[in-house]
Amino acid sequence: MKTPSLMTAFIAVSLLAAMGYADSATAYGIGSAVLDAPGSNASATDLASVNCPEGTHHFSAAVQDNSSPVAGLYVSAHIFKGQQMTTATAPANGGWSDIVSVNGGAGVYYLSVRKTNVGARAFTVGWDCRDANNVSTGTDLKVLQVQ
Amino acid sequence: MKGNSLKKSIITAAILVAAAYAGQSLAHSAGATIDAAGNNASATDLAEVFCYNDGSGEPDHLFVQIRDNSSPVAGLLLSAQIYKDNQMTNVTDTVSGDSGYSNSAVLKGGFGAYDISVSKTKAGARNFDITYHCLTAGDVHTGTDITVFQGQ
Repeated sequence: MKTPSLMTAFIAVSLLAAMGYADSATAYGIGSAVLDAPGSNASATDLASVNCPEGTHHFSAAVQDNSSPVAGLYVSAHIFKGQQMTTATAPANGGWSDIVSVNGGAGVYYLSVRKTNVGARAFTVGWDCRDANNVSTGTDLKVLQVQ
Repeated sequence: MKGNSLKKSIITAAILVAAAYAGQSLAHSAGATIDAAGNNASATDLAEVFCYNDGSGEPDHLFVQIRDNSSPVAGLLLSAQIYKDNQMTNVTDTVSGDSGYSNSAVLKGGFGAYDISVSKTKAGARNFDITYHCLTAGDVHTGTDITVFQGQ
């Protein structure tokens, strides 16, 4: 079943070591960063592209907010490709968001992380390109914008 | 179908040609209810805004504001995003249910297609209005067209 296995993979890697924003040689990608480090940019948005290879059926992602809860301050991730977009928001308890997917086949997907107000937020995001049988097809991530 | 209602809202607004932004522009606004069933935390509405020179000047940036018209619910906030050419920004209406719009989100991408989206932080229906204006470098309103891609 896709959701638990992907979540387990994300959590396992998170416990081992967050790799930061970088291309991943593993089947899935995971990275951590701080969004709006000065704490003054409500519209801060981190953005990356992921090129999913031939054979990809969908691209999935989840996000985790690692900072202490602040009322009204939530971290969300978006997947965007073509004319489709979806959203996952991290719970305030430090757990992972639901895993969300866009069924867009092979090609370039955009993955972004943003928040709802001013304030620095440390987060971890996991991502993966998968085929119709939910087998990873590999990831090739390129960071486009860090705020 | 919600997507259609969003389109109708847009068309209606265009027909009415109500004055709006900076007192010098045509109205470009739309309203809809996202996650009408109240059970889809990942619901996202998506549209393309095309900015062009309609004789008023070359477009420099897209300006967006959003207003959450539904009553406040703890932990449920509505946001708008703008994407173009490897740039993205966003804004959240931090006070739900009042008459005020959010702060503005501005993306400086010049001429061409911008993607705008609306999302929220958890499950729950939210009725919203969104305004979008293509502006010149001098903040003069210029050509603005919209095509709805996804209504959830």
